[in-house]
Amino acid sequence: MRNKRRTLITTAVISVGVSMLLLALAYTNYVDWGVRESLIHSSTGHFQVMTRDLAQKEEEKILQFGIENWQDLAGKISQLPRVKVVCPRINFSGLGSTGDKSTGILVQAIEPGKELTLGAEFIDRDAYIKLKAEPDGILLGPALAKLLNVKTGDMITIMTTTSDGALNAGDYKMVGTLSTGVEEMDKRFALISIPSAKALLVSDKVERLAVGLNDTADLPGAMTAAQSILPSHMVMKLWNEVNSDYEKILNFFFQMIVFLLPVLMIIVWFSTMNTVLMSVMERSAELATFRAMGTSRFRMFRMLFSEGIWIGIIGVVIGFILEILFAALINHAQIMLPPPPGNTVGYALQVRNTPGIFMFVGILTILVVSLSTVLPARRIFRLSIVRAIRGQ
Amino acid sequence: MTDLLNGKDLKKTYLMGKTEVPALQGIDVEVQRGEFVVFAGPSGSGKTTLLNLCGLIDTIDSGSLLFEGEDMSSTPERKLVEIRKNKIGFIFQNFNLAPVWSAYENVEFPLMLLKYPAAKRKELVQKYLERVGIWDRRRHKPSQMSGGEQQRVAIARALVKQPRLVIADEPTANLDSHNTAEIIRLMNQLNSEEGLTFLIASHDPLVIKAAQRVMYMRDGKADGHDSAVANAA
Repeated sequence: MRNKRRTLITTAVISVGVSMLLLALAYTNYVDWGVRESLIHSSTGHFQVMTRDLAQKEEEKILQFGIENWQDLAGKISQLPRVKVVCPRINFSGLGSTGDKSTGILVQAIEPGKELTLGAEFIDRDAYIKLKAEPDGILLGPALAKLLNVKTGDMITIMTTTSDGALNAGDYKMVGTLSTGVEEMDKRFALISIPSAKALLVSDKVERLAVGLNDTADLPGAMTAAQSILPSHMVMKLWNEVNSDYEKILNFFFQMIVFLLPVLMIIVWFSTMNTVLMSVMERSAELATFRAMGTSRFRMFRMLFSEGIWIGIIGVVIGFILEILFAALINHAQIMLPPPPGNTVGYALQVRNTPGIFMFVGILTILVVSLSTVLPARRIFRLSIVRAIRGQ
Repeated sequence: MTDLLNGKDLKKTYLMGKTEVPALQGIDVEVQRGEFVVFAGPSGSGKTTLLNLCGLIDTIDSGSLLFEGEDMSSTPERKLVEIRKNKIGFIFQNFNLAPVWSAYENVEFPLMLLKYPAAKRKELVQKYLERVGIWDRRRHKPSQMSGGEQQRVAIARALVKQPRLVIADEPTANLDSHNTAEIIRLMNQLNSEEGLTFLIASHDPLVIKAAQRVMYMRDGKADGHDSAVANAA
């Protein structure tokens, strides 16, 4: 109150610091949510069920460690509470050929209908619908289609080894393209249906079951329930154990936050400490008068402490409001960011607020502001009444 | 009259940079309840230092100082704070009011230190603001008041806890002659009507003239020519 401009500036510094930190955390939150849900719904499922041998060993033949009678197991898992869908999957490699051109390909066999349920808004639904309509069809990565010089309606032959190790081939009609989002993958990737794969590989097994839940928060409970019905030779793998990209991406953002957080907090700390210290120095005579009147050192420290805390609280509240406004603006603006290195698709800049990040930043800022009163408090405790009243 | 303050052979030295300055060089002081005493002398005579020791806001280097018969030289800091809080009121040359508080809040502050209930605080604040003639300005901040009005608020603040002793250091130094006369008249009135003990350091002739007893000082010592009952109110 004594120096309104200085107090306003300090409050502004705290507000801006709080709002920027919140935005950074909200963006990281969004990336965390986005990468996680995207991986789960477009790739791994919430968890996968496979044989222990598949998890621990290398197959010498395709589907050597596959799941027998998988329909029975899939049915049981589907009946569990919280489970939305169970998707059978087979992954194998082979040679894709048009007669004129050939190249090595990585094939995934799926049930398109089930993948549509798992994928929700995270996948190219049109492509899956096309494959569902044509069970003998094939989807190619766009770069693979270009490599083979094929278009929708053209026939592609896949040659591979069967589950017995014999050579086999199958012809499939291209029904469209499907991008994985990763440039290198798009040069090799193909998608066919499970029945097509069964005929090609001469096996009734599937490699794994990808389980999709109603909500990611249901994961612990669902895994516990699934564990209780799994045969002893089967194991479960969490989505982030199947695909480690999530951990790598989050580590990158975590390092950014680890750097940004102390920088912002130090700025808040110095700014508040400067305000409180200047206040103590300017008010030496006044504080000495309070001491003369019988105010204890501790009570005076409490007065200054509460002044600092109030500046902090007001700064935090304004910071919260600023961040909510900025977040709304950013989310509305739909600013497209370029694709990350190696990816083919960019994404809209979004931030995702949660009560947790507000609480974290709010408490942290108040703590930092509290610490900023420590140095000025030393001045109070050392205050000589006589000298301060005299203006020294 | 009983002894309120009794100091014998009081000495105090200050360090100004690397130089030791002997502010008091062995001085005796005795103040009875109900007295209106002025420490007078030129600048550097030690009157403010003596006042600070009597007000327990500074400590003696040697000698003895009794407040209400209790030896203050070995009293711990916490006890000194309690005595000041309960028994001593202060009035300063520069008023030293809290600039962001109103007159009412400034006067109320000592009662909050003493944890008086709200109703009692209101009663006493009103009594003393009316006593000093400034009740109608109670919501004004110090910046909205004249020097005389601010000093009245400071007097009310010093009196509101009904102290044993009121310490005033050059209370009229920053006032014009009209306000000086008013403040002196007020302090005399409080002394005579309510029996409040005033201990004042001043070189203002008007203040000296108003004192019951004047202790003249020079170079940290009494100069041997106290004037008793110089001008009772």
